Amino acid sequence: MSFKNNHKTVLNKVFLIFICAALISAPACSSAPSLQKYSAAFTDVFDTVTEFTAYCDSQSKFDTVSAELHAELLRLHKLYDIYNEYGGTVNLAYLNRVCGEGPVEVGEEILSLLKEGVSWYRLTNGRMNIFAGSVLSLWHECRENGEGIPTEEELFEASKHVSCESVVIDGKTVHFTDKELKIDAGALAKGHAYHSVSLLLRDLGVTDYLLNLGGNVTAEGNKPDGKWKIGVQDPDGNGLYTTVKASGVSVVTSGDYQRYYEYDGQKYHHIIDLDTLYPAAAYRSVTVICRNSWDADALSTALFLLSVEEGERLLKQYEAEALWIKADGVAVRSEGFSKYE
Amino acid sequence: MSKPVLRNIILIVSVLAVSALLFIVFYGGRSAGRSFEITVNGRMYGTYALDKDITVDVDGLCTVSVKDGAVSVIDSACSGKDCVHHKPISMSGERIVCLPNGVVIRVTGDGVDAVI
Amino acid sequence: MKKTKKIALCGVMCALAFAFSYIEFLIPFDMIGIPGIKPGFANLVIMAALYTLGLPYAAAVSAFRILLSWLIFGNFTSFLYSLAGGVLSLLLMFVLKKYKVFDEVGVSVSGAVVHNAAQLCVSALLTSGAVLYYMPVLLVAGVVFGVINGLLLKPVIKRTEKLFL
Repeated sequence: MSFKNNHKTVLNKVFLIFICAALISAPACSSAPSLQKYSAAFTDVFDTVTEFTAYCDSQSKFDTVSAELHAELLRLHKLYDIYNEYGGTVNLAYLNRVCGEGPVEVGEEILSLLKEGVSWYRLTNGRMNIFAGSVLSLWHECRENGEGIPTEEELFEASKHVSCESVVIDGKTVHFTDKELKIDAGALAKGHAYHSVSLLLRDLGVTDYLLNLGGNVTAEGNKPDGKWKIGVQDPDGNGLYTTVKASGVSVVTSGDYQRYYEYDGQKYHHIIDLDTLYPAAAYRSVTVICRNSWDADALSTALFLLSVEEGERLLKQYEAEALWIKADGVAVRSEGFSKYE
Repeated sequence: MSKPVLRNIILIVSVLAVSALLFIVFYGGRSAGRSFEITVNGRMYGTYALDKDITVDVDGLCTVSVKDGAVSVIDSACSGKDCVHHKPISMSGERIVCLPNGVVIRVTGDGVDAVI
Repeated sequence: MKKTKKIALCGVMCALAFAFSYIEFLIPFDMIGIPGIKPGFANLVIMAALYTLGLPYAAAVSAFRILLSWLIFGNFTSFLYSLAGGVLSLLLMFVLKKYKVFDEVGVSVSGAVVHNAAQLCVSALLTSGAVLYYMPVLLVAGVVFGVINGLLLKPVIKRTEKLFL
């Protein structure tokens, strides 16, 4: 073997090592500081567990965002709370107490929630009704106690005070002409709360995050390895029924397994059908995917209360997709639902 | 080999075979999970990531801790403490159950970010 | 054996069965991170009663142990599990012994396996099936401790008979 040849081999080796080093270091130098996944869970807002997951460049950045988010969620929780008043704030509990007496001036957020409630009432002929607090509170009380069911008389009496015609919105004031009428905005509050939260997060510069307000998930942006994956529970508790890939949409499930109590061997869940005044029985769960978070929230409850055909008409109107799991376990998908699966 | 001993062996082998079969049914085809969920009396309490070390207080019933991608119960208000003695779980579908408290902790897999 | 002698022996066995339950309660036997697994030496005493005194006395020992554990450790769900496991395993062991299907080891293994399976089925009923995944582990544990207890059973019976008969 000549000297020349030997020299060449060494050079080849050096060259090879150089190429390898360049290949390894290039992506590291060119890409932005890598994003880390962080998550936080709050248990003190909207009577459910709220999870916030985001990709941030540092723990301290995430903690700041998460603290501001938590403060905003607490504010919204108080605003839409129908059980407690917080001295001074005009919240739903306050309105429920005083709106029967005369017109009350309300803030922008509550005003838009109430107007939304009126339009859903008209759209669904009163099936989806945020002014049915008188009926819902009877069930809420039993659920809190974990026993008993409201009597037929109580329910029938309460059902006389749920008409949206008794709600007079005039400019910035609200007045209930029916003193017994109560608001229960459970079907709309989380969607509306999310709207305020999304503005806050945008201002804070968070673009890729997932917020789960107890069954009400909004996915913005992407994970580094693709879209967010959201599991839809099997209503019988056998793991996941399906998974939905989401980016820039809200995915909301209304299910009979989310809030319920058992009494006398019977399960009573939280979505009340105002025709029967009992928990709606047609479906185990309804999952809605929609660009707009408050439409998604409202649609999931509305679809739970309507027939599949009526629901499909609403979905077309709102450009949304849905998955119904019927009481007999049969699943129905709207035309475009499977493209998210 | 005497008859009783042969029968014992048949018994033991068949029970072990049934165990192996059940083991495959319950644990087969699992991948490492990336999140876990806690339910209290069948109700969803929360879903948490497994890739970050955290501690969760489950309504004062028990304390759940994530360490090195595995979740375990580090304290519990129950009498038997079986849940505390359970080894940490990390595989998709694995569970820790605390019967007296009605708490079930289950690892969910396939990179699911939230469960609704 | 005289009836008084039998009753006295039964009393001793009740005390012994409960003592084993108590020791197993005090010392957690969860080896290699597997909880809820116990050697079940109380079952050894119950089997000894079954072989030396017969089914009624063995049933008395088992019932006494289960009731006393409930009263002293005060856990109603555990009581339900023990009851299901105790009744089913004793009946099965009695049948297997009577018709000479198995020797002591086989009877012991069958009893331990059925005891564990019945307990888990009751807890599955109470928790909508969430714990059934634990079945294979408990079955294997039943085989292991069933064999150990079965091997111990022969000398135990011999000595009991020598001492009391």
